[in-house]
Amino acid sequence: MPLPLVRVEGLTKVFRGGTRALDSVTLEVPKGEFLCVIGPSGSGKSTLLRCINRLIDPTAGRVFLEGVDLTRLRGGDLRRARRRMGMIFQQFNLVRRSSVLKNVLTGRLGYQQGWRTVLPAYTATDRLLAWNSLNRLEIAEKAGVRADNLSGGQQQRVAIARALAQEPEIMLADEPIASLDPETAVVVLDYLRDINRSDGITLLCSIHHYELAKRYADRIVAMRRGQLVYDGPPDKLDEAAYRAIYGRLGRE
Amino acid sequence: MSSDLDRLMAETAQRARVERARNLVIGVVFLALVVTTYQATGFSLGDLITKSSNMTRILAGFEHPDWSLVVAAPDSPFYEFGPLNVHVGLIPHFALETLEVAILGTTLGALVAIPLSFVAAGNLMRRNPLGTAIYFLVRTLMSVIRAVPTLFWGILFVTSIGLGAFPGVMAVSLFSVGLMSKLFSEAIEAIDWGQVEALTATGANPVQVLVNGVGPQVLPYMIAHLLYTFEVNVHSATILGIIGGGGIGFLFLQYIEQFQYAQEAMVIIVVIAMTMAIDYSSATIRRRII
Repeated sequence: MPLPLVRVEGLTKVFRGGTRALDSVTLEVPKGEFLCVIGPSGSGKSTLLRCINRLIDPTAGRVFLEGVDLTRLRGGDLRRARRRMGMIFQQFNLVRRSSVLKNVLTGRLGYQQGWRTVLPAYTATDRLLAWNSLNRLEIAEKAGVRADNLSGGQQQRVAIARALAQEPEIMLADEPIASLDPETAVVVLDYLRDINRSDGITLLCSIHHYELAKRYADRIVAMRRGQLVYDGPPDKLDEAAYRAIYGRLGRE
Repeated sequence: MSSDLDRLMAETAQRARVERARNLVIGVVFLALVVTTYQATGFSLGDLITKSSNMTRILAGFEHPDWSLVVAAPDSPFYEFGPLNVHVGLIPHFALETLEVAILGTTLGALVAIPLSFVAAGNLMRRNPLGTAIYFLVRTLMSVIRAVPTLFWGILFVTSIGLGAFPGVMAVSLFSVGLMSKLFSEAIEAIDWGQVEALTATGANPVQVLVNGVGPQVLPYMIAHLLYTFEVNVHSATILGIIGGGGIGFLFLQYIEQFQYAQEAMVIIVVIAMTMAIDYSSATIRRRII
C-alpha cells in the first residue's frame, strides 16, 4: 500500500469562542483521486481544507503530505510545502486590481528566492508556465485584462490557472462553484476533472451540491458538525446517508 | 393567542413612551448647552451690527484690489525654483512658497506615514502579542501627534528653529504623518483578506504577500488620501505664514496690521483662487482613481 498523498490524523479545530469546527477527523487522500467533501454550511469542510495548507492552524491532530508532518513546519519549510498545494476559493480571491497574467504569475511566488521576493521579477520559466496555465483554462486572450473585469466563471478559471502555475501535486478547492450559476459550475468542474485526469493532480474539493459531487467524485466524504459521517464511493450515497448528513429529506 | 398580542402591543407602546421621554431629555440638555455657550462666548448680534463699519472698511479693499502685487515687474522679487529664475509679483512669490511648504511637507509626511500605517493596521499586526503591543504603541503615538494642532507645531518649530519656510515644512510634515498614517492604516484594514489568503496559499512569504496582495488593493486609496492631505496642507501652510512659518500668511498679517486693505483684498483673492484650483483638481483626480 503506497503512502497516501495526504493523511489527516485526529484533526481538531476549536475556534476562539469555543466553536468546535473539526472534531478529530481522520482521512486519507490517495494520489490521483478526485475526492469531494460534502456537508451543510458550518459542518467544517472549509476548516478542514484550510488546516491542510495551514491557512488555519489546527488545535490538535496532524496533517501529513507524503509522510511529512505539515503541522510541525514553520517559515520557509511551510511555504515550500504550501507551493505543492494549489488552492481555489469560493470567492475566487484574485487580486482584483491586477491583470489576469499578473494574477497567474503570483502562483510562482513560492518559487522565488532572495532579492526576487521583494520586487516581482519573474523568470522566463515562470512566464511560460503562467501562459500555459492560462491556455489550458482557455482564457489566455484575457491575459491583459484587469481581473475584476471578468465574469465569475472567468475569474474562477483564472484562479485555477494560478493554482496550476504552482505545479501542485494536489488542489484544495473550497466550494469552487458556490458563487457560480449552474452552467458555469459544470464548466469549472469539467476543467478540474480534466486537470485531475490528465495531469494526475489530486483534487480535494468541498462542495455542497450533492448531485454534482456524486457526478464528479471518485470518492465522497461527508461531514456534519465537524465529524466525518460518510466515507465511500458516490454510488453508495443514498437517501438514508443523505438524511444522516443533512438531517432532513429532499435535495437542494 | 390574543392575550399574547395584547402583551406585545402594550410592550411596544411602553417602549415608544420610554423613547419619547429620552428624546425630550436629549433635546432639553442640548438647548441648555446652546443657551449657556451663547452667554459664555459673549455672542452679540448687536456688536456685529454696530461694529460692522470696521468690517466694511476692510472689505472696501475689494473695490480696488491691488493687482500690481500679482504682476511681475522689473523690481519685483526674484523667484528661484531649481533652474527656474523669474521675476514674479510679490503675492505669487509668497503663494508659491506656501505651495512649496505644502508639497514638501506632504511628501515627507507620506514617506513616514506609509511604513507606519502597515504597523498601525490591526488586521496585519494583531495576530500575536508582540504585534498587538507594537500596534497599540504606534496608534497611541499617532493620536498624540494628531492631537497637537498644526499651528502649535508651527509655533514650536518657529521658536526653536527660527522664522522661515523650513519650520513650516516641519509642522506640516508632522501633522501629515498623523493624518495620513490614520487614513492609510484604515485603507489597509479594509482590504479583502481573501486575496491575502490566496497568495499565502501559493507559498508566498509575508513580504511577497504585502507587495503583490496588499499593495495593489491599497495603492489607489493611498494616492487619494495623499491628495486629500495635500488639500488640507495647503490650508495649513497658508495659516502658518501668519506665525512666521513661510508663505502667504505673512502678507495677510502684514497688510491688515498696516491698514492696507486694497493689498489685503488681493491676498485673499489669490488664496481663494489657489485653494479652489487645488481642491478642484485634487478632487477630480481622486474621483478618477477610486
